Amino acid sequence: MSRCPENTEWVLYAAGELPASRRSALEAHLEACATCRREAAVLRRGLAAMEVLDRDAPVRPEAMETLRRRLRAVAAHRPARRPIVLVLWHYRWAAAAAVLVAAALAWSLIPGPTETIQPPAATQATAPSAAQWLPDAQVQEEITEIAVGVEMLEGGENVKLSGAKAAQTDTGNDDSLDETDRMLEMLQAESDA
Amino acid sequence: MTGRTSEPDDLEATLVSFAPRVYGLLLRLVGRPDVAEDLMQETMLRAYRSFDTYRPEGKFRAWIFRIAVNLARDWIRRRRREPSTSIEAEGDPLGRGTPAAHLPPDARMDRGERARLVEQAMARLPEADRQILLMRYYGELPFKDIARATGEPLGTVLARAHRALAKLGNLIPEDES
Repeated sequence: MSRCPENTEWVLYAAGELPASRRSALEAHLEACATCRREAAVLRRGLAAMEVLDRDAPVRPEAMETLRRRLRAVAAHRPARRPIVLVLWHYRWAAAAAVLVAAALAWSLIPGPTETIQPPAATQATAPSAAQWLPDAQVQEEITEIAVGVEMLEGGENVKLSGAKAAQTDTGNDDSLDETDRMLEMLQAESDA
Repeated sequence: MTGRTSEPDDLEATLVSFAPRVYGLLLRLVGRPDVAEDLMQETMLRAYRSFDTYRPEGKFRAWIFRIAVNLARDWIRRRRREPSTSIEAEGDPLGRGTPAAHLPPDARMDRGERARLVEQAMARLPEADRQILLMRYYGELPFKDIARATGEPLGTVLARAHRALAKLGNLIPEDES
């Protein structure tokens, strides 16, 4: 190091606040520079001079007691933090709604008894794997019904089909199924003819 | 303590434990025990009230000492605006205005007398320079933390420290270093 370091860097050196690498560089410079040696020595003596001062000055016991009392008084008037329960209570409706949504989502994802969960008919027709959800007999029945429906649509019997389905939906009894059977037989006869 | 104190009880105890050090700093800054005591209490109360503004990335000690130094600065400014009660008129307990004295080379001078001479020498320093040294000594803060606490550039803080330390260092004979 040819140039002398800045005076301010010698302050950091004397105070022991330089990184090790920089400190080594300055020490190497000191060996060759008498001016900087004097500089560093004066700063070290300045720091050492302060060591005769007591860092902790005794505070009167009465003053310490007054300090404690005043701090307690400030603490007493300091607004306390709201308990977490009260904070959550403010959002109780949002929390309840979130719980309901989560429960509904979970319910829809859990496979239940075969009688209660059935995939849509269209899905059954295009996704054979869905048949695993149903008993074999029911699967066969469903497939047959759908196949017939498709044939009817292809044959332009939209009106008859919708009428039959509407009757089935309205009554919900076995008579409607008989009516459908009769209609299907009629269609089958027409087709054969 | 460098971390954030989370509980009010801890904060109160921490502030009380800092009281003698803060009082020592303030006593050197304002030179009057009664004023230093009042300012110490005010420092602690302000720290307690404004604890929410304390940023944990800074040193807690630096934060406390910054409050104390600012209060001392305000008090000194107010005193200067009151001509009838100026520090010079009352007589400065720290010996500001007293001619510089060099410490004798022999070791017969006791610690109290040496301390008095150092205090007198420090009292003659420019106020801003003295504050840097006092924060360094009483707060045991590195200069970069002092720069952060005072809001001054590190270079300015180091320049002040260099000037002040050179004056103090020249008080002590070379063979005592």
